[in-house]
Amino acid sequence: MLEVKNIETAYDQVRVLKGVSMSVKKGEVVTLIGNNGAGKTTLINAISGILKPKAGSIEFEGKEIAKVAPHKITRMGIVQVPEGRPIFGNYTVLQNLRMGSYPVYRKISKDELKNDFEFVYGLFPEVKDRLDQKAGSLSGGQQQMLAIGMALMSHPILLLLDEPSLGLAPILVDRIFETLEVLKQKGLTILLVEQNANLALSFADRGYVLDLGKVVMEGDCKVLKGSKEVREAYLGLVGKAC
Amino acid sequence: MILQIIISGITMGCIYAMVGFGFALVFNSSQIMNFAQGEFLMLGAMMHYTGTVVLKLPFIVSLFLSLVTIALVAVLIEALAINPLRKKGASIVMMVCSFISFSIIFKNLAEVIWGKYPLVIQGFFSQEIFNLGNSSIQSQSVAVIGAAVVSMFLLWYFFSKTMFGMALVASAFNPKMAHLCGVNVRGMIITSFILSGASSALAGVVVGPISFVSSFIGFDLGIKGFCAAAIGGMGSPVGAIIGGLLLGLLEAVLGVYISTAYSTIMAFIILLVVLYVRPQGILGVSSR
Repeated sequence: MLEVKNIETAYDQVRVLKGVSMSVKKGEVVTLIGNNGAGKTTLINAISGILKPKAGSIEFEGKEIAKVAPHKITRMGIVQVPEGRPIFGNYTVLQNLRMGSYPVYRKISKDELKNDFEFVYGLFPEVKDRLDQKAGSLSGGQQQMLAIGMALMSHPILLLLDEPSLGLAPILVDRIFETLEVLKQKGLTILLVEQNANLALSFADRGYVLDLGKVVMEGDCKVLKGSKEVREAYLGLVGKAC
Repeated sequence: MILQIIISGITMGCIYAMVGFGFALVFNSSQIMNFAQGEFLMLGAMMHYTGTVVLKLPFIVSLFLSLVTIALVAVLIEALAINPLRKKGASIVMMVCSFISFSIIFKNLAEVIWGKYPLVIQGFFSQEIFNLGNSSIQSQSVAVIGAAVVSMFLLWYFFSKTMFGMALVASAFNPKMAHLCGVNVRGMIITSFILSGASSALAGVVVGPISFVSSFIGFDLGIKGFCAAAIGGMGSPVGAIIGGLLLGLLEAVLGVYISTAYSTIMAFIILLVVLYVRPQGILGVSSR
């Protein structure tokens, strides 16, 4: 479904990605792990079209998208939930969800749109209870739920998640990942960027380890989780048995 | 007498509000103050002069042509004054300089095309003045207030009731998120230039019969519109309306009791007072 080949990016003169290749197949959950500054966010921003790569290609369902404008990429079905607080704080929760439906609202029927809302409310009752509240006044966890809800309103074919656990209490992280599990079971294709490698490797099918702008390891999550290098560098388990 | 002052204050206030609204729109979508905003008003009035007096078109046709032309001029400004600079990573200050350059070019170009002397354009009503109690009211005031109310209502409806309008505001809040919601952010910036151009041109068409039309009204009314937007809080369209009305009313009152000669000075003293007390403007959001 997604095929990234040898992409290179640079901020000013500093190279961030130095020839990264990776792929995501339909129905798969893939994770990118790595330390801060490894280039994980840069890579998904390149896929979303927010950042244009200097070299290499990105193919989505057979089409080259490396030079396509970001809003068109979203409309093609690659929907990103960025890190931080990816919501419109001045808008109400309901208005945010409506913004989420922006790429598709002209293409779908009123009933379909209503179903989309019901689907999101079903996943996140917390969000449904606060429809008229300003999104900026929600807690961090609720904002993350709203952000995922908005992305789902956009009818994603490939969902890109950037650090959904960032800054959240463990109980909320569990809550978010339970929901992602539901989406995974439904067959949604997901590319997950996570600093919490343990969590990411438990959730995903396949993973890539990024370090200083290069893929240093890739493979089945179970295999990655068992490997000595990953355990030492990213899981903080030095010498301990699994 | 007092009614007369209030109505003339509201009339000019509406004009300032419409120009201020244009400032707020462009500022919202691009964080830049468009100092060519007043020239949109002047060109709108000039086009309407050409339409009605030179080409002898019906009022409505000429009005429509004038709005469309100025909307196109605004799009051109975005493409020539802003977008190339943004691509090169120029600072906001440089973009403001670019706007100021265009404003001077427009003013002088207008002088070449339409001449130095004030032109007269017809008002919406044939009767110039009507009496209300013992006050005489300029009939064009009704046209000005009507145009302001209708355009403000349309813009309010557009921004708060349509998905497109919501997306426009959203791309001003957070361009990255807007991209990720499938919003064409550049398209939204162009749309705000179109709306700001058309609303200022409409202001020009309705103020023309009151102020006369000449190449220098753009600067004068543009700077008052800027004042209105700053008093209301840069980037707040409702603030610009409040700022405009406040400015118009105070100017009318001070004009009667002190002197109209001080009107521009007064406008800026009012702006300074508001900025001293509330630097972010009446409805603006504090940056701290």
